[in-house]
Formats: sequence, structure tokens, C-alpha cells
Amino acid sequence: MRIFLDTDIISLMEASAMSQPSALAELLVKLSVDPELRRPFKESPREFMAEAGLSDEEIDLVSGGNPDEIRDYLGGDAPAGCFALIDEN
Amino acid sequence: MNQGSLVVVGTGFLIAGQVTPEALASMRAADRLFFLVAEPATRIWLESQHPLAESLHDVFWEGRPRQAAYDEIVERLLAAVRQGQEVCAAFYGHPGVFVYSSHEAIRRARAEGFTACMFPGVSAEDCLFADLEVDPAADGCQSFEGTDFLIRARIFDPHSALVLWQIGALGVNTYHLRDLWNAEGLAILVETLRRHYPAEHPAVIYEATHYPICDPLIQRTTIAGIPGCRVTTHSTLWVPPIAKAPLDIAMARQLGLSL
Repeated sequence: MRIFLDTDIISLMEASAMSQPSALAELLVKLSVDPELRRPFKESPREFMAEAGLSDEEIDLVSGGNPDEIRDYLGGDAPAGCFALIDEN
Repeated sequence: MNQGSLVVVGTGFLIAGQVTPEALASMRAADRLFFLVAEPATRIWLESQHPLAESLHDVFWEGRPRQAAYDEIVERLLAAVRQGQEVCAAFYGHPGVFVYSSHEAIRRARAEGFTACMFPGVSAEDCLFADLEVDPAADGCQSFEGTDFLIRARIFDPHSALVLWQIGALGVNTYHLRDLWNAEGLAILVETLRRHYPAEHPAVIYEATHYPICDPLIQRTTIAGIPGCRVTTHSTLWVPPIAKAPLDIAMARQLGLSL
């Protein structure tokens, strides 16, 4: 069992921030856990994203609203969504 | 009981937004965190939650039989458990819904004398009920894996709602990188559904959103229109009831209901 101290959490957050290719992932995480934050985002998305440190490229990407493009931009491999096995017997 | 344990959790569909507190605590407390998620922001977030977070995505490659991939996942989890580690495995969605490896890993871990359990998560069907604003209690709801529905000629009641999962992978047991694994299968599905519904009966092709900035993909169509929609391996089909089921008046009276 790993016991987390506050310093562990902070160091994990710092490590996370350092390792990310963009501020976009960080913003998506914040928006995913806080529905209240989505309101100002929806009201003036470009301003909101600029304040969050997103690049012009990222702002255009998000404004396009295409999840496939966002997924491709963030990179990494993600398997297709079929994890159930069909019993053919 | 042997040392080493397995906890299986779900991450839902919205990066960190649908992760339950018990799932998060389990992920953080584990010696090893394995995960299988469907988009990169969730991966990035999970890697920030545990220094030894390890993706299982590399078990999949083009053309590989999915049984082999799922078995490899089970083996990887159990290998860590056998080393005496407290292992957490996180799957996107609900970890016990349409995830062969999670159930099999728990079964085998217990058979080998280890502690193993699963915590519920938010499934695609849960998101569907919320996003389509439909209540499975209204007319009942039948849920089948798409291929299973076809090859076993499942008997169902069209007076209840019908949910078919994995309609983008009908009859396919290998893994592929493309979005839709079997377009021809959709035509066969429509042909089967047409025995129970008129061609113009409504249907919805649904995909939960992974991003809080994007809407879920909700394509409202008809039974006949299904093959013309964008269907992927993430798509779920929702077919509303054809009509209200007739009442069994005698049964209602037997239950003391005044109708």
C-alpha cells in the first residue's frame, strides 16, 4: 500500500505539468472535474483558453470541436472500444 | 490469503470527471497502476496520479485476435499480483461492463488465493441515459452485445427499448485501427431489426463524449438509415419502444391495482 503525503501529491502534479506536451490536456482535466468552469469557457471560449495558456494552434483546434482532431493532437495510442469477448461456442 | 491484491476500477468517459472517489483512492494507493483508456488526456491524467502508471494499450495491434490481447492483459495484472504487489487496474467506462479482462483477472486472482474486487464506474449506457434523456424504467430496456444479438437470434420485446453495443465491430474478433470494423455487418443488423420494426422507426447512434468541450455524438435516424450514419467501434445503438406494451388486466387486479 502506498501512502501519499501532501508533498507526494504536489510532486506528482509538478511532474505531470512538466511532462505534458501542452496546456490543453491540463485544461481538459480541469474542465472535466468542474462543470462550473465550463460556463465561462462556453461564454468566451477563446479568451478563456488564452488565459489558460493555450497556443493559437490549440485554441483553433478546440474551437473546431472535433474530438478526433483533439485526440490526434494530444497523441499517444488509444485502443478502440471493444473489450468484450464474444463466445462463439 | 496470499500477499498481493487486485482492485479493478473504471474511469468513466470524461477524463477525470467521472472517476469515483473510491476509484481514485484505489489508484493512488496501489503499488502498481495499470490502465486501458480510449483517449490521451485520460492517459496523461492517470500518469499524473501514480508514478508507476502503465498503459496496457500495447497489447493491441492491427489484426491481432482480441482474445490474445485480453489474455495478455490478464497475465500482466496477475504477474504483478503474484509478486505480492497491490495492483489497481483502471479501464475506461465501467470496468465490469463489456470488459472481459477485468472479470477474468478477478476470477483467476481469487482462484490463486489473492484478494480481488471491482468498484463500479460510469458506463456508456449510463451516459446514454443521461444524454438522450431516456429512463430505462419507463418501458424496460434490453441490452445486448451486437454480434451476440445476431448470432444467437436473441429474443427480445420491441415494446421495450433496445440497446446494442459494439455495432461497429459486428462479427469481428480481431483488433483494427480503423474506426468501423465491419460496414457490411450493419446491413445485416438492419435486415434483422426490420423483422421487428418498420423501416421508419426511430433509432439513435450514440457515442459518449470524452471531452468536456465537445457534445456527445447523437445521430437521430431510422432503422433503415443506420448504415448511412457514422458508426465506429465506440457507437451504441438505441432503439426506442415500438409502442406501449399491452396491460395484463388480470395480473394488475391480482396485485390490487385499480386500472
